Amino acid sequence: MDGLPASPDGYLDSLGGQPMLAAAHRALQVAAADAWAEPTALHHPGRRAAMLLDAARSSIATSLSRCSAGPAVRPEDVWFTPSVEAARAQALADAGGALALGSVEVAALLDAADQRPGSIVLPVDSLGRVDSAVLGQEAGPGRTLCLQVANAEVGTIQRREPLSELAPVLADATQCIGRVTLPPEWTTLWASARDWGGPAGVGILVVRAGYPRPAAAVGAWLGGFPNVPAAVAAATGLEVLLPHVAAEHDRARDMVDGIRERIAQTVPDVEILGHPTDRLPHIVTFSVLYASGEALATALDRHGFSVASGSACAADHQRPSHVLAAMGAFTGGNIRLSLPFGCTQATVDSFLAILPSVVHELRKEAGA
Amino acid sequence: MTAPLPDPDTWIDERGRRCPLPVLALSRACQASEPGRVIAVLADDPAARYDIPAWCRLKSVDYLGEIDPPDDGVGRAYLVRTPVTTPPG
Repeated sequence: MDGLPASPDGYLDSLGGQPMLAAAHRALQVAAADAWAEPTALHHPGRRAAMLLDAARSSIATSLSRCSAGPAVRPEDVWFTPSVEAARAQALADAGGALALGSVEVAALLDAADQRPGSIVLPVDSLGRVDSAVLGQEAGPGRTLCLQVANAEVGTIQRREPLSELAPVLADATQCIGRVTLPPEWTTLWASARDWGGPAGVGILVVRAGYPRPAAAVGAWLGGFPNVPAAVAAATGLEVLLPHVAAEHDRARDMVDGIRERIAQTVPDVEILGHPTDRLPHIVTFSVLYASGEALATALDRHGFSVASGSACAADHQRPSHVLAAMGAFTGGNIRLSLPFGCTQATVDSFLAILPSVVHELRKEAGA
Repeated sequence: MTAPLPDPDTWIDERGRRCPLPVLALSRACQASEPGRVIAVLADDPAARYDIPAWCRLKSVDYLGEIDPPDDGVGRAYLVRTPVTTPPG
């Protein structure tokens, strides 16, 4: 390991949460002792909270500028929200009007498109890619583009080449910050601090100058009483993570390359999903024929491995992941691995060692 | 409307059964069937709509389409044609 501590043994679900970075945790505790007052209040404790919140905002802007290929992000373009959902809802509200988006965006965006007349939902290819040239043609007055940086369920990075840096583009950056360099082609972006080892309960909304922004915003926090300690912890987490991003990227990419290769060799009748190379470094999704996703995830958990599944049987609503369905992928027996920061090769190796026998047992039980 | 689907040679009723059972039953039926036969899988598993066509793609089996079940019951009937050349694995 170079730098980041090892993540918990067997844990392979960063999308389902990951341990907060130690520095973020410390920052949360320190800031909680100091920044408990309303930052807009006219008293000393309030001003102390306001100073810390402003510092967190500047820190996030600096960090985002360092991990983005576009123009620098200014502090006044960044807001903290109580969740990534709140950031996305704010972005949607500010954009207004019809949307043009691919069918692998998050359900909330597809629901919004459904409710906004004139919206267009574009199909994706079998790797989960939206045709960005077609998407670009659908842009125009009265229609806002939504294009995720990458699909967090299957890892595929979306192409954005024909999109201009000027056309309004809403970008979901879930699981991307701290993992890949952000592309320049977006004007509004949201993410969760959990993506980079920050605390739960902090989303960020970033809006480039000149594009629709939260009109009623007073300070750096949108929505309810500002959780200044959490914002400080989020900013600290990203600052601390940045020096490790390149090494973590390469480590995760190599481990996922190995996972894709080994599973194809050792598990018969498996469909490995998402783009093989143009993808988030730490995510790999595959579907195992003749086995249930829920049974696989549960059996792997019994062996000490934490994984997620996009299969219908693993979902509360008993429908398969709309992303897998949109790709035309096999949705049964689905397993999604998202390597947390500090994931060890030992965890990956022991997972790969046990997977074939777990699959074999379940297939035997099902009568395959 | 597209051309009507052919009448199935074989029906398998997998209604009330969940993933992976309907696809597994289809796989078995294909192996047991002569080449070029039309098999209909009756299923009400919400994954069947996606997984039967996807399984056909992975196994080079022709997926023909879906129809209402003939008994006006729940679910849908998914029609496939077993390969004339190489049998599916």
